[in-house]
Parts: sequence; structure tokens; C-alpha cells
Amino acid sequence: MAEFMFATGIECSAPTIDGGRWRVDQLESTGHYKHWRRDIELIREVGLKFVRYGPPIHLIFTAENKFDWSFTDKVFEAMRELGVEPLVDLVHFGVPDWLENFQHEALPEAMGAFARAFAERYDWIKFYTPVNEMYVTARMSALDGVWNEQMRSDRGFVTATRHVAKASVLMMTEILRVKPEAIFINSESSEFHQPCCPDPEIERKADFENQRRFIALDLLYSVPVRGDVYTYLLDNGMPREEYEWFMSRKIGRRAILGIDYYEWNEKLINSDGHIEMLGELFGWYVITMQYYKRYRRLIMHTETNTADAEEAPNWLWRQWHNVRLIRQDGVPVVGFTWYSLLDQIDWNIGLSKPLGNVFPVGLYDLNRDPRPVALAYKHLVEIYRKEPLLAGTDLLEMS
Amino acid sequence: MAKDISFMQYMRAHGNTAGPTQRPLLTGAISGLLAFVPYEAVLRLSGGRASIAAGFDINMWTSTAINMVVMVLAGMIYAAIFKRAANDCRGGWIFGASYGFVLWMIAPITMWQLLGSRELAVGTAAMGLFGAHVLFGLALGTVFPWIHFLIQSRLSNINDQRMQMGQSEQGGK
Repeated sequence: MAEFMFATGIECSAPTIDGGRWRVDQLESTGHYKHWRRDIELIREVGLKFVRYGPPIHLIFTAENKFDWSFTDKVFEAMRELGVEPLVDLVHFGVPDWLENFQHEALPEAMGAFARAFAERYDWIKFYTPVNEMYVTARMSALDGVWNEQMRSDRGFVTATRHVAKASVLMMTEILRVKPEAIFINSESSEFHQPCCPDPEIERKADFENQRRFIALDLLYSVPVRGDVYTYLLDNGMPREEYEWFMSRKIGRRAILGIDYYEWNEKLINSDGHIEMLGELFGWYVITMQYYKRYRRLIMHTETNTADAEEAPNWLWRQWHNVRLIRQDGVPVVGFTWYSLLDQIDWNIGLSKPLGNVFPVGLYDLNRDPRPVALAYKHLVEIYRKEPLLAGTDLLEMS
Repeated sequence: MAKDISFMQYMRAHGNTAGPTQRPLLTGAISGLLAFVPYEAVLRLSGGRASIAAGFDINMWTSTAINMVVMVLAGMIYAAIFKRAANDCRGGWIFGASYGFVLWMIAPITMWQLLGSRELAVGTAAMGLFGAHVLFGLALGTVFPWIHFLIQSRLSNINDQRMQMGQSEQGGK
């Protein structure tokens, strides 16, 4: 029987930095390659069944049509054995070396091939996130110049967005060919830009950013973009035919919209026109409602945490109460995720440098000792384990 | 403008406080007791123990007993200072050795100079005092993670207890 999905995730980001000289592989820096079995056991220790898990694509997909499954075979077998259900992140901010970065023309088709090979090998896996946080992937790689191609241009951003959106479509198509009952969770970072003041230029900038956050999802879900955004896409290299191709696709009901939320997701455009972190102004409920009204899909809260380990239990409960309230208002939320199982490395600086700073956001620290938030989450899950699925969530029932 | 926060607030925010399953003081006490064994051996072999006993005008066994209590307390203080970091199997030995060095700086060097009327130890005995303190710290830092692993509670047990205590839904806070 289907159930509300309480989940965590094993942080698996693996972008390259410094002109491709470094790969900041979170599975490596958090010790997961060494302690993978213990990590899977910890998921059960908190009372959880679902885990967002990203196999290391840069180690698996070593060349065109060449795959090394030696690590993932062990991990997924252990998950089956221990009753852990993976929500598989196939692309999490990084691509294999031979594909270089998100500007590569062959990326969408290559990712489609990877998804097909993965689904064929692990045919029991049901949940997939084809490309995690498409907007963040494109923004950090091609607009903010931090990861992978490290470009700072609108053309680069549009190219990366086109590629990740097309990759998602092709990956979902290929997986459905192998496993028609697969379910997709398109996890995206919730973003919101607030203008500081009634300055027309500042308001225009905030308004554009609030449209730009939707572009990748619009392409994926075939939702027409606003006129000025359409012009922006065409001016920056998107062929008209490709846009029409996106709009002609019907992704179907099998895609759940995942909404991630962190303190830094809400931003202020200040009087100088610069973007500043705003902290939690409106919160997950309000931002998620904006996404829900646009896409009208099942929703899952797919990532949250806070950098203050002492504050984390309070943050957990605040996020959960947001979920409960929005469910009461009729939005079909089917899952909730504390991200991640373990502390992370260098996320306090957005993985921009390989410094080795511990970011204490995990349910467990890197010694695999539980933090207070692990106890709080276990308690929460025990109380709400029988949280009912809402009307409209029959997709999960059928699965 | 940067927030004005204390060091301890900073450390708490960075996740250094002990977790819900941990018993840091008990772990520190047991580890301190275990680390006392090589510490005492070095002091006995080097003549350091005899120097301490003579310095305080007490017999060797009384000196050993008092010192053992002090070192158990030192283990608990180590746990209170290093908290979650003390559980690190890879880094524990170096935290511990550093702590042992600081203990040597504080006790035989600083405190004795303030309180004593004559030198505590010279020659081999003095070297033994130094070596014993560093070795104590090294042993303390090395065994601490393993003792912690053995005696920490299970997450499930703690939660069951909390549930039985009838805590509210917000009890997770």
C-alpha cells in the first residue's frame, strides 16, 4: 500500500570547479564510499524507508556506452536487503569527464542512454529524479560561474537550461520504456526574489528573476513561458523548433514536483540591484503555492536543512508544519525530506572551493553519531507515520 | 555587520555539542581511567612518581590514588571541551596528544611553579613527567571514540523513552 514518503538523502553533488581541475565529490568527502553500508543502516535507524540517492555518474558512465556498476551493485543490493527504497538522482550537479559540462551538445542524448542503462540494470527501482535542481544546475554552472563550465553569460545559462530540460525529458522517456510504472520526482530549488523598494528597475529585475526560476520546469512540463522570457530564450540561442518540441511533449501524470527549501532561497534585490540573501520571509508554504499554481502536480518537500545544528530540530518542525498547512489547503504533498543523512562538506561556500569545511546539517555527523535533529525527525515520523495520502495521489496507490 | 556571538554559541551552531545518544562525561571518565595505566607506568619507570610523592610529602600509593582521580576528572574535562569532535576515530589521537601537552603545561609546569617550594623533578624524572602527560593524552584521545561507541545509547531507545514520558508533538524540539 502506498504511504506518505518520509525521506532523507545522501548528499551526492559532484560538480567540477577551478576550470575542471577539481571534482568536489560529496560521496567521497563525507566518507560514503567507505561507510556506505553503515549509512544505509542509519536510514533505518531513524525510522525512514525512503532515501534520495545519487549514484556517482562520473565513476559509472566512464565513456560512451561504457558503464562501471561495481559500486552501485553493492549499494542497491544492500538497500533491497534492508528495505530502503531509493529515489534515484541520476544527475546531481555534475557530468562525466568525457562530457565535460552542461554546454556539451551531446549531453541530453547521453543522459538518456545512461538512464536507460540504469533502469535496465536496476529494474526494481521505481522512483527517479532525472536531473536534480535544473535551475540551480544551470545558474551555478553558466550564469554565476561557480561550477562545471563556469560561464557568466545569459547564452551559457540558456544553453545549460535547454540541455538539462531536454536531458530530463529524454531520461524520463527512456526509463518509462524500460519500466512503465516508474515515478519521477523533479526536484527543484524553490526560489523567490523580492524587490527592496518601488524602483521600476529593481521591480523589473525581481520580476524577471521570478520568471527565470521557472524556465527549466516550464520546458519540462510544457508550460508556455511569458512573452519576454520567450524572447530572452530565442535571443540567447534557443531554436524556435526546439521550444516547440518542448511544448509539444506531454510528460504525463507520473511526474511529481519536488520543492526544496533553504534559508537562502528567498532573496532581496537591493537598491544597488544586487541580490542578497533574505532569510525565511514567506517560507515554504508561500513559495510552494506559487509553483503549485503554475504546474498543478503532486508535490514533495524534497530538501531542507539549516546550518545551525542547535536550531535544526526547530527548523524541522517549522518545515513540517508548512507541509501540514498546505495539505490542509488542498495541495497534494506526498513526501517530506530532511536533507541530508550526513553532514556535508563546503556547502557553506556553495562547493566553490575544496576547503573541507564541515557543514553540520546532517541527521548524523561524519563520525556517524546522531545529531539532535535525528531524534526529532524519528519522533516526528513515529507520530505522523500514518499521515494519509490526499485525493489525487492515486498515482502512488497504483504503484 | 557580523553578529556578536560568543565562542560557545559559535561552537554550538557549528554542531559541536554532544548528540542525543552520547554520554560524553561517562566516556571521558572511563577513558581517563584507562589512559591512566600507561601514564602511571611511565611515571614509575622514569622516577616521576617518586618525585611527585616527595614533592607533596606523601607516599607513592597515596600519590597514585590522588593522581588517578585527577586524571579521571581530566578525561571528563576533555570530553566537555572536545565534545562531538572527541568521537573521531581518525583525529582523536591528535586531539588527545595536544590535550596531554596542555595538561603538562598546566600541572607540572605552571601550577607547581606557583604552589611548590622546590623543583618537582629533574633529569629522567622530569622527562618522564612530560612523556607521561603526552602519553596520557594520546591514550585518552585514542580510546575515547571506541569507549563512546560501546556505551552510547541507541537512537531508538532514547526516542521510546521520550515517547513514554508523554512528551508533546513538539517534544522533538
